[in-house]
Amino acid sequence: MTKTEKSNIIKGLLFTMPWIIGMCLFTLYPTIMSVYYSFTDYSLLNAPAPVGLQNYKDLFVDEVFLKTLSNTWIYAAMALPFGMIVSLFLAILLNQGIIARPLFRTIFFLPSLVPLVALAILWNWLFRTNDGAINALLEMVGVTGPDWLGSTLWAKPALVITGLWGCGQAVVIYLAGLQEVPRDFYDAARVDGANWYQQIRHITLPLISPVIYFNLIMGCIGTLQIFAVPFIMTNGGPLRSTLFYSMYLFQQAFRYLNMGYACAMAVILFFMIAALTWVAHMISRKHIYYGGA
Amino acid sequence: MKKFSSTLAWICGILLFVYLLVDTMKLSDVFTKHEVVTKETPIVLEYWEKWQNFEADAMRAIVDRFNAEKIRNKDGRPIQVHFFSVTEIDQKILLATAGGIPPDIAGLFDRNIMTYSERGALLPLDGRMKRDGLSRDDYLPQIFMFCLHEDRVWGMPAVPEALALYYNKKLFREAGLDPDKPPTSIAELDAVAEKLTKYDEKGNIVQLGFSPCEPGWWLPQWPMWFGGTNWDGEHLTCDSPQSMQAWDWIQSYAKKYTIKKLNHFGTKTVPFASSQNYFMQGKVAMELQGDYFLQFVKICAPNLELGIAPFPMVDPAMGCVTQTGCSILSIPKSAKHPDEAWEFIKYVQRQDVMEDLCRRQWRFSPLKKTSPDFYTNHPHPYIKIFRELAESPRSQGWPRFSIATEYDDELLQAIETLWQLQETPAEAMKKVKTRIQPILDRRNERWAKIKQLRQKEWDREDNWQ
Repeated sequence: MTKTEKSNIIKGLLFTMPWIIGMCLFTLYPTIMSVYYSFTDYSLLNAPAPVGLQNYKDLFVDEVFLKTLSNTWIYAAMALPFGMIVSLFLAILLNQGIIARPLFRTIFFLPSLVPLVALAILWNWLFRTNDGAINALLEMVGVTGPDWLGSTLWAKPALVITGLWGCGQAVVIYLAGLQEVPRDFYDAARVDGANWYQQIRHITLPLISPVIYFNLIMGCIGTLQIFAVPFIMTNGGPLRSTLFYSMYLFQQAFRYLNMGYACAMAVILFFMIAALTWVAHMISRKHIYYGGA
Repeated sequence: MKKFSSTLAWICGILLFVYLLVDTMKLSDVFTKHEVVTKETPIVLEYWEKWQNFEADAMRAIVDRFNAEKIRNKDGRPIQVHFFSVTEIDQKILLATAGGIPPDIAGLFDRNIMTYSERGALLPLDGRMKRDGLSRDDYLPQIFMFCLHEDRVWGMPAVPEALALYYNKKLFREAGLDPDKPPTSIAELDAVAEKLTKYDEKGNIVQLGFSPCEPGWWLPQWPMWFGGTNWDGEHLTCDSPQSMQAWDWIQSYAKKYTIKKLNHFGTKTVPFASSQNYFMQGKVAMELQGDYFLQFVKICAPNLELGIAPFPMVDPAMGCVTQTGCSILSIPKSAKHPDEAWEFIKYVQRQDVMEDLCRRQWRFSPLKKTSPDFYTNHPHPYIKIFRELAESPRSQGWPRFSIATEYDDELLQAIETLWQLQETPAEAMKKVKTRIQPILDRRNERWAKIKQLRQKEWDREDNWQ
């Protein structure tokens, strides 16, 4: 290594030092400690007492834990594809040559700026059984609306619909991807007689596949960690049908002070997300097109 | 040379950044140490309290009164209390205590005392009480029990609470009932509730006489009015015959009025402290509520014609009973000024101060002795009912054991299951016991291991002059 290279490395390290220190202090250290606490009985106020694998053993016979796990997966299975399809569809629409396009883009993005608490309270009112706006609209077309948040059948779909309110962020990312697709490809396709669907299927989707992949991974993480909206709207009810993984983790940690148990849950969630990301990566490796790579 | 000084400057800059990041607190101490402390420099206490709005204002007035009296600590320095109204106080106190920066005074819920003291988050107060001539016997035992755990005192009462039946006299009259004769047994309550319930032409409920789930804050405590309890001091008794009778009674309402109609009527999404509250709107005729509720009614629905009576028992011969509770003033373990914090807590215990606070919050006094004009000058016309109910030997509070929160949550789930007619009460309670008993056993086992150690710690902490 030459003297200049050495000096560059030192300078590089110095420049990145604030980030490295921050990462070590606020991410790496808490992660390592979480893994350690997951093997202890720890209440935050007392010194942790080692219990080996007890927390993990208890977790897998804890009916509520298993219920929250299934709730979370069911919610993710509904919310993720639905959210991705809707936001992609909106992005494609907003990418067309329509009048006042920037205005529409702003309108669709605005709701994602609403704080989650305000959003949850707003939708709580919209979903009210007897005088909520949604059921009132359904009533106008002769449909008796369900008890959205009070029924085990409808509570999860209600949360999925609520989640769509914040799809503006994904729309913006899709739009950025869509604008990168060269116009020439569409012109050539049109010359060859391709219709709108064929253009989307054979040009748009392959060319924005890295963006779709990014949104898939982020959506996966987001849906598996869902917390604030159900916490305010349903608080896990009815009959724990909307008690999701992160909510139960929070309950164990801060309501029952079972920090060790909660840390074990956090470790499992971490590996779950990591495994899912790996699976998504493996599956999509063949289907993602990186133009420059 | 230029290169060297540039690298040196970078290193210095980064070291300074790290120092600031890690040691911000200590750095601020360096600056504050320069302050000149005289005998008149006040000791400033931080007091976190859970109350909002007018309840917080009541305590703020007491704090102002304390500050105005310029009470001094043993070194002769005046004590100043800074009052902070804090939401989600139990979690915030917990985190602040774990982080070593708790407030000096914590206004806790009674249910926090056992959990926090067992985990070493609070200072025992017996020694301080003894030194200053305060005695447990000065208080109603039904209230002071909330301050105790393992026969030690962990906090002092602020204001107590009790529950009673609130009913709408106007709706009673409209239904042809005598507004001065509230129901005196559960059977009577059920019959009156039916008379007070009205439906529209589609069969939807437009006025509800009574529901055990409205407002639904004390659902696990219903066995109390059937002569039962969910915790006998050692065992989970949610499946005792009396408790089962209570669960059956709750389910009978779900069967009678049907869940669909009750859900369509809907009360859950309406804010409690607002004129939209169904009781305040006159849509619900009777409900179980606390002494403090009247103050909310006077603000949100001043024209409501209200009656208050003891909530009926299943058998009137059993006498009256209520659920009691108490707000507690405690000193977190690593508080900066525990002695001065005690001075404030002791001040609140003075009969005139306590009565002032209780009057401002429309509550009864937790002290056995009350001044002759306490009731005559009290803004709550029914406050004596609540006090008498609290004095009943059968009155109970939140179950007092270390996993009471888990137990309560599990009971709530079970009640929701039976309310939705998904399970029979027997099935639901069997599940509660199956889930909670192992948690209780584990907790007892751990407590047995650390009890002696904890006792020694408490002896050390309480041994002061």
